[in-house]
Amino acid sequence: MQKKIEEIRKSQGKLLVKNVKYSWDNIPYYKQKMKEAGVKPEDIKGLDDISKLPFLSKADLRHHYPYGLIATPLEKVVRFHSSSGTTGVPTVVPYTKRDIELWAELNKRCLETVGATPKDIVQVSYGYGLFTGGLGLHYGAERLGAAVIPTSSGNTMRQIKILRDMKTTTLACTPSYALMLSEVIKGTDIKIDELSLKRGVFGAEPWSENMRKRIEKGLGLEAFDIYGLTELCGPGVGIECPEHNGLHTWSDHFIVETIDKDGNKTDVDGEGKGELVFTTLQREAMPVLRYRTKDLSWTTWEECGCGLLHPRIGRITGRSDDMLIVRGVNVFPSQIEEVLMELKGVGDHYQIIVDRDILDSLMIKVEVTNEIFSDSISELITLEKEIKKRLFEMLSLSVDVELVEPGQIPRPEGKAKRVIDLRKDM
Amino acid sequence: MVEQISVFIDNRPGRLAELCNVLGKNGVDIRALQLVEAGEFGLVRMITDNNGKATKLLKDSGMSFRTGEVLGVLMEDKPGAMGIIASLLSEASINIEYAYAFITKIEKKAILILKVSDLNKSIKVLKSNGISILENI
Repeated sequence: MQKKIEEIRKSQGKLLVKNVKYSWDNIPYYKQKMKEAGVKPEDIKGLDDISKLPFLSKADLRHHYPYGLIATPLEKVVRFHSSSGTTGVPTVVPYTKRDIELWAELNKRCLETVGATPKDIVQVSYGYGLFTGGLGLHYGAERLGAAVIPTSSGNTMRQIKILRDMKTTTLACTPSYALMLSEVIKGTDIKIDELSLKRGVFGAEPWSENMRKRIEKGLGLEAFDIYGLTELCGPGVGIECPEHNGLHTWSDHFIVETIDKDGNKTDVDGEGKGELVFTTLQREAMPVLRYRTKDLSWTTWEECGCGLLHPRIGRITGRSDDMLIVRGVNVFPSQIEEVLMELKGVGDHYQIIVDRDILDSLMIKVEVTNEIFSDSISELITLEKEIKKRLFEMLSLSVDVELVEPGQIPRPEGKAKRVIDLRKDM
Repeated sequence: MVEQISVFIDNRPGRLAELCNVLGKNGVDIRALQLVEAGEFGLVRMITDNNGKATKLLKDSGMSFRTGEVLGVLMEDKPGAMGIIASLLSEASINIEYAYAFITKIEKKAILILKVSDLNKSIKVLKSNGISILENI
């Protein structure tokens, strides 16, 4: 087995060498970054040389918005997807025809890994659009030969009717939406044994074992974690197998490394803990070299009971930055602060509280200073609404706003704890 | 005209007691008070016998507050009295934003506190109809 893994790693090395040359030749910014790091393509002879390459960050991608990092002529690009911007600048990811095909292939493999076959009926309740979730699973299921029901997200009662009437066997959505479906079903006269669900593929936001149990019980299915990032293609980068002990990442498409907070490589031969760093091996329109995901986890090549010879990553246990994922939407506290600072008298004293009842909720507590305090209730309510509206415009996410008395937000050691995430124990 | 203090408070048990105790312990008498709630927060509007001291106490306890002028009207404590005042203001196209009323130690008299859209005009209208405007309560 060890020999087999060595062979796989060797072929990863070969793909890496090719990809580094391709990136150097076709993306001026990558060339510049490598030059600054004192690396040339000929210095990369195999997998072990990967640590010579500079990292790529989300900021790098944003600075080249929208077309700055495309390796192919624009005419070869057939699709763009995008992830939400942190300060108004989104990350745009281009795909060639082949990129789309390979992405479909990855998702097909993911579905196969969780036991889906052409006989299955796959309901894709991820959003379709710029967000990669919907289309990624859609292509994967079609490529597998399964029947796809592209419900997209929302309209929960209709989703449930379709689940029952069309005998959906495989559900793909965010874990919080899966939980919501199960809660809504509880309130109807539909019984779980009327459904045909066998499995669910849930991702795009962090979730826990407790949540898995609740979803599995509530919907009568086996729940699998799926991993992906828009920057790498979208969903399909990693998938849990029936062992439920980590997510396999496709070794012919990605190299996974781990680093510590200072950027030092912590994995040895693909075994390590820390921030996950991905290198794509086959993407054409926008290959990424050593992309820092900020997701904290572990990676291993240890043999898995399912027999797949692809390394595993663990569940994402946290972030190395302060990004929050709320209902699948990336939220940076700095975005919220930016909105609050624009309003006179608001800004200094606020707190962000994330919780999960069924769906995630985001609540911003804002202290009412003398400056913004008004004797008129309607003016205060207008202020509350204004903050809500502006936050919605910034985040595309509805947010609860609560005005609180000055001093109500605790300031340990003189500095306010800005973010409280109550979902940790879910 | 009467000076009123408006205080922003969280809508939770014990909050009004805390506010009143701060004033009470320091000898400030609350002459009139109105509590309004709007979901998670509330507003206390009050008139005290020593607004200077009251505002200092509120400031020291870090609360958000505002002082403002409202109209204090002495009226008859009898059916229809408040209706007359409201009608007079209405005829002069003055809007009443909020009001609260209470009876007094003076026999058969009540006090009406009004927040109106035009304070000076209101005083003029009411005075010309023989209604007493209070300077303090």
